[in-house]
Amino acid sequence: MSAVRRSPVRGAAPFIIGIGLLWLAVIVLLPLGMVFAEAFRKGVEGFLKAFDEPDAWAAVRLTLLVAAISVPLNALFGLAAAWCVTRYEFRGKALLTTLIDLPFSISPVISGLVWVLLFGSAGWFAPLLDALGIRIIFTVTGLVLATILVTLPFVARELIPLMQQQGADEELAAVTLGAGPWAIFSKITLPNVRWALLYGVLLCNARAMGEFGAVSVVSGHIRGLTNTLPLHVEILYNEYDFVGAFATATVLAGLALITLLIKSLLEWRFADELAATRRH
Amino acid sequence: MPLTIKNLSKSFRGFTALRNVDLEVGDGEFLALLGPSGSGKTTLLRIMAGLEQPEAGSVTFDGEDFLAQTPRERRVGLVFQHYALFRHMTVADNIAFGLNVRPGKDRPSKSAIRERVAELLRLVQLEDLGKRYPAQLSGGQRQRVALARALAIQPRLLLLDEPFGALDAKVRRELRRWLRHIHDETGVTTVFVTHDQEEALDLADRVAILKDGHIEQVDTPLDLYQHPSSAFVHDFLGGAVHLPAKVQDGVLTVDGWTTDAPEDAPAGGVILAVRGEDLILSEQGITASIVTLSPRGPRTRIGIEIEGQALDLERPAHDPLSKLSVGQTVRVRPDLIHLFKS
Repeated sequence: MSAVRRSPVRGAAPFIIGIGLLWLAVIVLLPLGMVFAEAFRKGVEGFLKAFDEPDAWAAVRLTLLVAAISVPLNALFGLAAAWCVTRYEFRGKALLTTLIDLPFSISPVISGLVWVLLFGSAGWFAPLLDALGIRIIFTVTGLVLATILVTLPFVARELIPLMQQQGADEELAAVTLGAGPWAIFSKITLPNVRWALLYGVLLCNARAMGEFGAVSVVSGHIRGLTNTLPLHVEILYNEYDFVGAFATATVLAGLALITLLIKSLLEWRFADELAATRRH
Repeated sequence: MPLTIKNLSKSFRGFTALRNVDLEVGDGEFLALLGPSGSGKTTLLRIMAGLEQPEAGSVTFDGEDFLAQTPRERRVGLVFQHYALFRHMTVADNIAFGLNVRPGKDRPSKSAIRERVAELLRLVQLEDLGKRYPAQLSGGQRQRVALARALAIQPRLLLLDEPFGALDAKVRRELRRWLRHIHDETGVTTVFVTHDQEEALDLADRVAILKDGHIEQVDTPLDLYQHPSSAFVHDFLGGAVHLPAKVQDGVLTVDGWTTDAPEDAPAGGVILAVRGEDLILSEQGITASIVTLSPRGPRTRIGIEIEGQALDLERPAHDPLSKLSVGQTVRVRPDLIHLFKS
C-alpha cells in the first residue's frame, strides 16, 4: 500500500492533480461555500434569527431522532444480511442480494409513496389501522419507515464484499479453539469488519439526515411535528426566507462535517492498527 | 486405539465426499491423509474437528462419542491451510485466544496465560514476535503461529490441513522437519492432510491413502511402497505405467514378453504396474522408446514411452540407459513385479 507508483509520463502529475482539485472546487467546495455565504448574507444576527424559531429546533431534534432510530436498525440489518449472504448457501440468495440493492435503484419519492399506499388513509391497511387507532403516515413512525427503506443498503453493501473476501476461516478457527457464538461475533467477526461497518453507518447516517424525497411524501409537513431539517429548509426557501433556509442548511452541512471529523479522528487514532491489518 | 472412525459417510448436494471410511489412529501417532484433490481428505479432517457432521458412521476418541461433542469439548487443535490467523490481533493474542474464551471457572489467570503464550512462542521459535500482527510475518512464521495457537488449548488431537501447501519449497522442507520435531516433543496425536506423497512418506508414521472418498490403504511408508494394495496406490506413490497383462499356469505374458509370475499372482487378465526405478535394460522385455534424454552431471533424466504411456527415469551417468539416444527403441524389464487384478 505504501509503495509509490511512478507514472510513466513525466510531468503529468501536476496537471492531473490540478484537474482533480479544480473539479472538486467547482463541484463540492463552491456549493458548500455558497451555503455559508448565503447564510451569513445578513450577518451573524440574520443567521441567528433563523434559530429563534422553535420550529427550527423541532426540526433539528426530529432529524436527529429519525437518524437515531433508523441508523442502528439498518446497522443491525446490514450485519445480519451480510452474515447470511457471506456465510451460508441457501436458495434465493441471489434474490436477497438484489432486494438489498433495490432501494438504491428506485426513486426516493417511490420509497415514500409505497408507505402511503400501504398505511395511508386510502391504503391497504387503512381499515386495520383505523380499527386499532394507529397512525403511521404524517407521523414520526412514517418518517422512520421511509428513512429506513431509503438507507437500507448502505451498511450491507459495505460489509458484503469485505466479508466475502475475508472468508469464514477465522470464525471456524475460533470455533475449534472453543469460542461460543457470542465470543466469535464480538471478538472475531465484528473487529474484522468494524471499519467497513463504521463507513457504512456514517454513509447511512448522512443519508438518513439528509433524505428529502421519501420523507417529504410521508411527512405531511406539520411544522414542529413532522418537519425534518431538509423539509424545513424547503419550507423557508418557498417562503422567500433565503437567509433562514441557508442558515438551517448550515446545520445540515455542519452535521455532515462532524460525521467526517469523527471518521478522520478514528482513522488517526487507530492508524497503526489499520495499516497492520489492511496489508493482509 | 484412541481415535476410531467407523463407517463414515458424507455427501454435499449429491456429491459423495466420503463413503464407508474406517480409520484408527494410535496414541501419539503421526498419521498422514494422502490423496489427490477431491478425494475427501479435508472433509475427513473437518469431521474430526467438528466443523462438518457426517450422515452416517461414528467417530470416537478414548471411548467418547466425538460426534455428540461440541468442538470445545473435543479439544482438537486445527491448523488451517491458509493459517486463518486473527488479523486484528497480535501474535500473542492469537495464541492466547483459546484460553481467553474459556468460561470463567476454566480460564487460567492472566499471568498463567501470559506464561503459556511465552512458552509456546519459545516452542515455535518466535520469542520476539509476540507483539507483531499476522500481516507483518512471513508465511513460515504465520504457519508457526497457527500451530502455537492450536497447541495452546493442549489438544488431545492435532489436525493440520495441507500445512505446507502455501509455502515455497525450501521453507516447506525446513518446516517439515521442524513439525516432526514438535510432534516428537509434545507427543500429541497428529493427523495431517497432504496431496504431496513425498511429504507424507517423509513425515508420517503411517499414511492413509484416499481415493474418491474411500480409504484405499493405511500402512507405514515402507509397506505402502513395497506392498501397495492397488494399482492406484502403486501409481500415486511414484510415477508408474500400467500395462495390460495375462497370467496363465504361472506364466506372465505382457507385450509378447513372458516371465515367471510371482507365486501369489492372480490368474487371468491382470495389470502390470511398473515404476521407473524398477526398469532395467535387457535383451528380452517390454518395448520402450526413448523420448527425451537430459544429462544433468552425475545423473541423467530419461523420458521413455511404453505403449503410449510416459514415464520418467533417473539414472547415474554411467548407467547403460543413460547412454542411449533419443528416438531409439529398446527393451526393458521390471526387476520387481507388481500385479493387480484388472
